[in-house]
Amino acid sequence: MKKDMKKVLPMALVLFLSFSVAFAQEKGKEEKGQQKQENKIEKSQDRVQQNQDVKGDIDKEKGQQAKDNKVTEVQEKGKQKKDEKKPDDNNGIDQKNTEDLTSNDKSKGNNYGKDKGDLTGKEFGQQRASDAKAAALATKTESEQKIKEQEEQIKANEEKIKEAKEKVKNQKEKGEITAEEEMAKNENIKQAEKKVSEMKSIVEKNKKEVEKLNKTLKLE
Amino acid sequence: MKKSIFLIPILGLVIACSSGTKQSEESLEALQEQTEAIEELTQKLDESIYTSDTEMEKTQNEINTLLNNI
Repeated sequence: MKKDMKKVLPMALVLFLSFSVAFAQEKGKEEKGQQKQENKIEKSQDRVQQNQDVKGDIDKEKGQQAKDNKVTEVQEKGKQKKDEKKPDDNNGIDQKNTEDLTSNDKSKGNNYGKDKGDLTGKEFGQQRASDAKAAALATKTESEQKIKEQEEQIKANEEKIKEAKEKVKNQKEKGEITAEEEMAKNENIKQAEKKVSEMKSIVEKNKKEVEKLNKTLKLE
Repeated sequence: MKKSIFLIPILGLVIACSSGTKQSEESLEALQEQTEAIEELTQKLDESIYTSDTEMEKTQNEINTLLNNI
């Protein structure tokens, strides 16, 4: 009996020690990982929050700009001067927005990621990933819509240029304009064409950004 | 000799526990990296669209001015 005890006791001790080492290791790693994750989560949540704030402000501004665009199209030369003044107003809005953003950062910036409710670090990470994906998809759809609109805008401009060219040609044929006037008008048309190609490169850039996001989303 | 035989499964258990944690940690980090990449690209796209919107509006105004003079 005593002999058996001598055998069993060290075995039990070894077992107990190994289990405690394994648990301690696991716990330590988990805590470390969780801390790291929490830090990262906080940072990225701040970023997401900032994005959302900026997006909201952008949407407001976009709405105003869309209104301005419509007005610009309808109004005649005289009113265009007024429209040129509007970007100043927008700058005012920008300033307001940045002020809002900085005040937001100060007031609620770091608190965003802290309240995770009943979620564990892993669950929270997964939740954050799905949120990011959803936000990315929404931005992608919105951007694609925007790109479509911009392409239509380019088409409309190309049409306008075509009409302008024909108009100048007709005016010249009818003798309504001098050679100098014709040259000046053609110069204006050339410049307009350059502007349209600038627009095209802007749209191309946007398309590339969408493509990048698309690829990253597909990689997941 | 007999005692050392009992140590083998214990050692296996210890290794299994530590590698399992490592694996889940790695997958979590990968998920975080992907999420960060997505967030970054989303922000970039958002900014790009916003900037392009402003540029397009400005260019449109210039085009209108140029073509209205014809």
